[in-house]
Amino acid sequence: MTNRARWLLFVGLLGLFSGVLRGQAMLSLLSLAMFVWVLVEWFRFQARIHFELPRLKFERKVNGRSEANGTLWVGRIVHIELRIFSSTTIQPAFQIRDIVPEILELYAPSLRLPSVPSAASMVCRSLIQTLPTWIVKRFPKADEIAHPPNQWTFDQPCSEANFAYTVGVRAAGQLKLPGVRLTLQDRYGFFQLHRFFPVEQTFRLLPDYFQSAEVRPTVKRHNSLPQHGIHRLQRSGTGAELLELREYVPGDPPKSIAWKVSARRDKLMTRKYESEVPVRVHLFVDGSFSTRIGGYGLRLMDQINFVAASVAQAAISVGDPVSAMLVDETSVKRLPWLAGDRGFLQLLKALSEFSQSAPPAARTITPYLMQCSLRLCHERFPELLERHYHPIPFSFLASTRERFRMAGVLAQVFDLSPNEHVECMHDSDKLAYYLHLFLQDAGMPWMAPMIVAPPDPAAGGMHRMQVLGEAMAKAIAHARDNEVFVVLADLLGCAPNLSQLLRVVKLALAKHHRVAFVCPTTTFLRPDSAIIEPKSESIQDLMLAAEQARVRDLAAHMKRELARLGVAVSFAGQRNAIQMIIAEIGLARDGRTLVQGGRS
Amino acid sequence: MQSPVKTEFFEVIADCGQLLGLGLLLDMLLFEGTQVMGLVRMSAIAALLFAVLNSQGWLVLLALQASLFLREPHRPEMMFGFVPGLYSLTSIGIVAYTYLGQSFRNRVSKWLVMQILIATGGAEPIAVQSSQPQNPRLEGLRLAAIQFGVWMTIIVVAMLALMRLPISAGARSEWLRSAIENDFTIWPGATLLVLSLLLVIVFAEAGWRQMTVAQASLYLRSAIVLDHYWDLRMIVLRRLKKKRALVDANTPKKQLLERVVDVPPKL
Repeated sequence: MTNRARWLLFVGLLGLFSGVLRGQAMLSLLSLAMFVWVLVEWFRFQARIHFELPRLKFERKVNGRSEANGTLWVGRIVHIELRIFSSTTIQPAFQIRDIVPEILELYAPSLRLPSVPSAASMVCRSLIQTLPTWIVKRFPKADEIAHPPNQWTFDQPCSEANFAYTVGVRAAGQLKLPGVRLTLQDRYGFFQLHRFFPVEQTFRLLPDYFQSAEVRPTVKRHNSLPQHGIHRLQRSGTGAELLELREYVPGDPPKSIAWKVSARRDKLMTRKYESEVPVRVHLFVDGSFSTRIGGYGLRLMDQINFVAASVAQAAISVGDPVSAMLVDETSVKRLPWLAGDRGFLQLLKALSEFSQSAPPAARTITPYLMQCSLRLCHERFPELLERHYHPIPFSFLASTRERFRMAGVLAQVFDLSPNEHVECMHDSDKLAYYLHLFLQDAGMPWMAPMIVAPPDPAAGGMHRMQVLGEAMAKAIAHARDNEVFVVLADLLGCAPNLSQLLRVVKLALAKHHRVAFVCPTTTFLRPDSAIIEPKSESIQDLMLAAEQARVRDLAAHMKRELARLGVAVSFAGQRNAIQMIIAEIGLARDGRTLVQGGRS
Repeated sequence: MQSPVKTEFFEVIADCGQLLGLGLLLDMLLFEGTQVMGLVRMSAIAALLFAVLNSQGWLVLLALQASLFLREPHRPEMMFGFVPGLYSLTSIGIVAYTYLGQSFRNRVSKWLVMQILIATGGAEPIAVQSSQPQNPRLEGLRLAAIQFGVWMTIIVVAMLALMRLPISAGARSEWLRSAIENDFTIWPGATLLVLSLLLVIVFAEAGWRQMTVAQASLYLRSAIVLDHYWDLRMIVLRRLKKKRALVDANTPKKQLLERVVDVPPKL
């Protein structure tokens, strides 16, 4: 029963009492009629619940496919259609909402094109404009009332309805479309019922990538000699470059005989060609806490994924194998050498899986966390919050009752034992853990008020450097010659601990590998001097400028340290970072040390 | 074919017309036969129309009841005729109209505008598609007829209840006489009790029947936890206490002190 019905009954009760006491027949009749009316509406509402709701069926198609699993790409538009049908007529006055997780961005429905106004239309429009604004505002037309694109209201009876909306994918990871939330109410709004109908579909979201127009050929472009001390891996093979000429040995293929040279020397000579060693690219992808925090599409992880996927695509398209090490606080996952389209897809899948954030390690309960979880509960499990079916221990405090209720929902969702249920009621750590898990399952991003940053970022930075350094050292141990190491990590936060990583970088350079660093920033901007000027005197702009200045100082320090070693660095996960890495791959292929070309 | 802007203008006019009609009706129901000043009447009607625009039906009902409270003469017996029935029917209609809200008003306006345009030859009647199971206009009329029937039944049931129940002097003596003659109980308490029990059972049963599987599971889970709550709470709190003591024992005293110092003051 809604407040509307409660108020009506209360007023009706007042009228009935006074009517009966004062012997006023019409007053009594009117008041009692209101009671009977509400009762009749209740019976009608119950009938709808019993006969209409169980017959409702939902079917969702994503890009025209209704399969339970699939794959979607970041940055591409996705069309979703929802079909509702029933064996009986669906009565009006109910609202449905297809639940869309945060990882999807809802696009507004396409606007109607304005038609050319006729003279009569112009007159009418001017007449409407002459009406007082409050009158026009009081009469919003049905199509003017703002609704999210994934929400619809039935105002006419029907037996089947189709709705469509468009979304965009914000970030790589996993998408779970859970189902439809339905709000059933009677025509007058006296009674309301919220139900959730599961229509589950799961999709793997693959990261977007930049397809470089500059596809380098697999053959070498420069026949340059490396510097003294730099030894390229030269061995005979089936490449296009001539390695040497030697005397014919029985068994050599006849097509390799150099006939002109043989005629000149009067003995058979055989051409030996250089083996074309593909440049192997190692990607080190950082998945630590700082890269995962923030809204989908705005995280450092999203920039890292974009750069990693783009670099891998550029390398694989020219036949260079790519390997990746996915590093987070607790583990290092190494991918094998991947080549070809299948390998590229495998890499994207691995990045997508890696992007699915695990529940955060820092578990602290905050009011925001509780509020957010309750809201999510209202959306996903409205029936579990109905007090009638969810008795809780008595408490005077509303916050404690909320906590007990939330613990009950979590116990139901995660199938906890009674002991764990009570633990959730009284143990904040336990409750926080399950709340994070709950939000995680619902596809919520790691946002600042709900997730508290680790207490000691410096220690975290040191640990990150250590893990990255160990991963790089392992990769160097298994590397051959002229390989490219691309480190995609949030190093700005732990720039003071760079010395740990520099040792490994020196080792890599000593073994004639190329190393490139991409350190994305939260602002998506290159930290140059222009952006540290505040646009205005507002607090937001001043704070932004201060943050930019801090990032610029850190970046300058880091760049200086790395430039001393001759390592390429980029501080934004943008296209220029991809171009920089492609240039490094080119250098490794040519055996040069400078981009400008020629021998150095 | 009318342009959308033109139709929109007519719809706004139709919306205003509906409210004007409603205002006149309310004026008739509230102030018919009274000597209230025109300004007061207009102010009251304006306030009620504002309540209608905001779907506050209880305010409209309160106004109608207040009017009846002040105007209706005291009678010893509950006698109902055509006028009280019509008054109640109209009042329920107004409250229902208020609660149906903006979307209903829009639809009525659209329908009115369409009818006017058809009558003046400005638009052609909408052809009903053969694939549609029912004619929407007929369907609308059918629903309106059903609603009217429901309201009539409500009024009749309310009338019967008021006439039957011993709430007036006449009805009380009638009850007493019939009870003595039929040797039944002298007061309808037993009947009312049975009816109330019946209603309670119906309500409770309906509530249980519409439970989902998850709700049933949660209810069972919560019932078990509630039954053993104090025992489980004791076990959990004891375990927590031990855990905290262990953590404190492993934490150096300096850090413990820092932790105490770092606690932010409550605002």
